[in-house]
Amino acid sequence: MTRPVRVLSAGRGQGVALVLLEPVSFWGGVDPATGRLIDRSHPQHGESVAGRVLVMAVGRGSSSSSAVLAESIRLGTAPAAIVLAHPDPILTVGAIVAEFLYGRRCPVVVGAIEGIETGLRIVVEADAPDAARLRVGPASVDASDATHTS
Amino acid sequence: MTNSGKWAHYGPGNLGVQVAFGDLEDCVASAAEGRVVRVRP
Repeated sequence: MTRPVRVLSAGRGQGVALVLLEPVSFWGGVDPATGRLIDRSHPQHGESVAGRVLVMAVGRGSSSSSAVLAESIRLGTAPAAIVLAHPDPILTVGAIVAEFLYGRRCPVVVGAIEGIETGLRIVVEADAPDAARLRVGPASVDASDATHTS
Repeated sequence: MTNSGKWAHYGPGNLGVQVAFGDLEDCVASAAEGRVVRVRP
């Protein structure tokens, strides 16, 4: 299944989908040292976003989430890609700044997220704005089989 | 103790502490006493 996406921050990434049941703030909600969700009130508290394709309907602030995402990209604990249903300037800025500072990409795209479930393999191809897409594949046998391509 | 709803939410995950939420007077009184104080019951 292939879907067109809008590119907020360009790049390619693939991995196993982690579909968030509630949006999360990277500031205060994600530990950049480990990539784990540390927001105690989040239903997926303790899960790791590292190397996953993070699927989230909307952003949740805080404005310092840009810095936390950039730091997690630097440390290699960031998602392989971020797929949103609605644009989020905070996460976009974090990904763009990390590309400039560290030469590492975490593509951020906007597209339809209906039908994407945690565990499915997602490939985000967002190099060119006019040909950007994501591919949804079958569930991965090994959930840790996730890679950064940057 | 904090009068910030945001810190009351994120404090447990960020600091590993239990949070008491109060108004500014509660916060100042608690800081002075060194324990959680509620100015008004």
